[in-house]
Parts: sequence; C-alpha cells; structure tokens
Amino acid sequence: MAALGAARRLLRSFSRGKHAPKGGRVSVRCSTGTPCSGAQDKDAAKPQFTDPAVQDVLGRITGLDLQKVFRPVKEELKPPTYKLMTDEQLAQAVASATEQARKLLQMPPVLPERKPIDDVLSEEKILDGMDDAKYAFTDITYDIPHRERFIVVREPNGILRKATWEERDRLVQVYFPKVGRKLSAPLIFKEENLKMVFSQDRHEDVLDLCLVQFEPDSSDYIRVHAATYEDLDKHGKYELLRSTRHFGGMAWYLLNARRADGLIVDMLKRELSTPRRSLSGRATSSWPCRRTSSWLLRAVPNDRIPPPPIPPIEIYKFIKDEQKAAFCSFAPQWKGSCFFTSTQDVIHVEGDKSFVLSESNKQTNPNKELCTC
Amino acid sequence: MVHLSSLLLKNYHGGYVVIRLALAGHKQANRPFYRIVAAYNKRARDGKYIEQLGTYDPLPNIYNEKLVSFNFDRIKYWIGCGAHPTKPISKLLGLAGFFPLHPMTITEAERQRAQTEPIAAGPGDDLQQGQKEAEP
Repeated sequence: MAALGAARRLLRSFSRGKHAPKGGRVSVRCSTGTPCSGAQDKDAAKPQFTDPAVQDVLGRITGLDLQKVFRPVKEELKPPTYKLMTDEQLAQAVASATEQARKLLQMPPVLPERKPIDDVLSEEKILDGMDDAKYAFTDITYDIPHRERFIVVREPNGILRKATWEERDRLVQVYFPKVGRKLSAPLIFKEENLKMVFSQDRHEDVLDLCLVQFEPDSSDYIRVHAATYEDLDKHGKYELLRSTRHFGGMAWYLLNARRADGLIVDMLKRELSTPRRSLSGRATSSWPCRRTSSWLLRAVPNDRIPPPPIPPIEIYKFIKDEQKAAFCSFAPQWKGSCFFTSTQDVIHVEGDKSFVLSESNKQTNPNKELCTC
Repeated sequence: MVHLSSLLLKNYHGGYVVIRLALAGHKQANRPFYRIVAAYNKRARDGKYIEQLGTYDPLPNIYNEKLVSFNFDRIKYWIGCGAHPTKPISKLLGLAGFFPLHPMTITEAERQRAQTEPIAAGPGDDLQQGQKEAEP
C-alpha cells in the first residue's frame, strides 16, 4: 500500500514536472489527489468549437474516406460512364475529388442554445378585443439577413411584440422558402420515432434532415443532435459517422460531456498514431484525465515513448498486426514503471509480464499476453 | 363606362400613385387573398400595378394568425415619391407599428367591445331568471 501510494505520488509529480511547462493551453495545475478538478477552472483558456486549431484537428480525425463520401445516393438510374485515363490524370481526378470531398465534409456549426425572444414593442389597451386572431407582420425586404428581419405580432389584446423564434422560423420559411425545410417539423424528430430510426442505424440521415430543418442554435436541433450522439456513444457505433460532416460535432459533444473514452478506444482500434495525438492536443483542457492527455501530447521521438496510462494490453489487443511488432519493440521501455488506468488500476510492467494490481482486490493477476514477441 | 386604353395610360400621368390592396386569385370564390400593391389611382383594382409591396391574408391559419408581409424598404420609397396609402393599408400599417394607430382601428375595437359585453351579460340574466322560475 505504501509502495502504491509512493508510486502514485512519484508518477503524478513526474507528469506534472515534465508536462506542466509543455502544457500549452493548460495553465492550471491539478491539486494533489484530485486529478480532474483542474478541468473546471479552465474557462479562460477553453478552446471554442470555432477555433481554427480545433477545426483543423476535428477535420483530421473525421477522416477522408472517398468511398463513403461519394457513395451512391439514390438518384435517377443512369448507366455508369467510364473514362480512359493515364496515371497522371487519375491522380488529378483523385485530387479534385479529395478537394470536393473536403467541401462536402464541412462541419455544421455548433452554437449555444438561443435565448427566447421576449420583447414587447408597445402595449395599447384601447385595442383590446378588436379581433379574434393575431396579426403577424413580416418585413419582406430582400437583402437583410434573416436574423435581423423584423417580424412582429399584434395580439388581440393590443400588445405589439416581437415574434418568438419558432414563429420567426416558420414565417421566414413561408416567405423565403428553403429547399427541403418543412413548415412544421417532420414527425421523425419525436422521441419514439428517433429510437426506431436509431435501431435501423440511420443516424446520418437523421442528422442530415435535422440540419436542413432546424436552425443550428434552436433547441430542437440541439436536442436531436444530443440524442443521436448519446445513442451512438451507448452502442459504440462511431464508425457510422466516420467520414461524414457530423463526426467533428460528435467528437466535440462527447469531449465536452467528458464521455469520450469509447470514442478514443474505437479510434485506437483502427489507427495508432496521428489521430489520437491530434485528439489529445485539442482535448487538453477538457479531457478528464490530465495524465492521459499529457502522455499523448508529448512530442515523441520514435525510440523513447513514455508508458501509456491506458493498459497496454488493451492497446496491444486493438492495434493491427503489422503494428504489434513496433509496439512490442518499445513496450520494454516501460519495464519497471507504474502507470494508471482510468479505473485506477495500476499496471506494473516487468519485461514480458504485466501485473494488474487492483486496489479493491489486492491481488496480482499476471498477464502474459503482452510482448511475448 | 369609360375604359382608358392601355396606350393612353402609358403616357397619362395625371393620376397619382396609391398603395392599396388588390384581390389576387379573384377567380376563387370564398377565399380572399390580397396583394399590397403600388398602382396608379385610375387603374382597375386587380389590374396592372407598378410594383407589389407585400401580401395580406385575411383568413387566420392553424396558429390563429393573419399573415401580413410588407416590403418596408420599397414602401418608404413610394411614400417618399408621394404615394397615398388607402384606409385599409393605413390600418394595417398602424397595427404593424410602422404608422401611428389609425383612429378607425380604435373606434372599431371600442364598438366590438361594446357589442360583446351586453351579449355576455344578457344570456346570464336570462338563465338566472329561468332558474328562479323553475325552483318554486
């Protein structure tokens, strides 16, 4: 127990000493014994969704699977066209396709929820009871943005007020219709219907419809997106959104909700190097486990990689076969070191064995899977 | 009846421009819909206008709203050119808050209130009388 505590303190001081100056955006130190409390005081340095660095990172982790971006959309049936190209022309075609895919993968904005409009322009009690219906007045001037348009409602009791956000959206759609948007929200966005659609794995279609129908800062948009991301997180179906424009939004939401463990593990399953590091770079100030993020952040020369806080067994299981040899080659560096997992177990690596010391169980389970090569 | 031919009217500018309601879809019975229009005074109500400035739907929709649209930019231009708004247009603009309230709007509201109050009071008295007679 004493050794455990000492090891823990050693590691914490080690990580703090080594990583605090390199912390970059993070200027707050964790107090001893509370690894995650520092996350709350980072509002001043908190990266926003619209930061160019954040956008860059999110774009990179979204991936660029051309096959998925340009997969056949249901269109009129036409026979396929074949072109004969040289290698250079093919390379050029692929480059232009990549460019267009990047445009298609542009991320929709993530905005805070809009505050309800509650503005009374005038109250005329003399008009009380003049009519049964309200009058909704819209300004039709062509070149003003829809957000700044004057839309007022005169109630039957004589109050002249600004229209609420729902009325605004509806009236703007009446006079300046947008393709694909309906006047009243489609029934698919109700809770029970959403569940059914999720069971059919059609999250992407729901998100596309939501993007067309609602404004990015409306409560419906945020509710539907939150429900979709929760469902994806629950079932671990991150692959559905992988090369689409919604992936960045999902990653951002999960990180802000501090539940991105599943996402990280899923990404580790598929690739080992850059995406994880880029995720960590952006996640520094919102990642729950500073140890993980600081481990990932460090500029790593190939021959000296520090021990990971996630159990190396997990990483070893998930990496591809051709990467396992490389992983084994630098795993022995961690011999004799202790590091933590997110569940507060300690793994002590000794050559080709690793022991999991669990606080609650206090037993050692030798695991011989690691680095038998 | 005097029909001013279109040739004459092109060159005839003795008239003035008005902003008024023109009935659109006038072949549809029992479904009025008005366009707010800048037109010469002597033109037919639904005839050729200079510019459309908005719409007015007098029948309320499912949200109990009567939809009115105004192109305020162009309305300001035509009023600046000396166009005369008609009475219903002045009332609508008064309700919208663009013009001050039209006196007839206030008068109509008062008349409406005067009409609804005795009706609300009347049947109540009759019912009470009926109950008193029925009891004994």
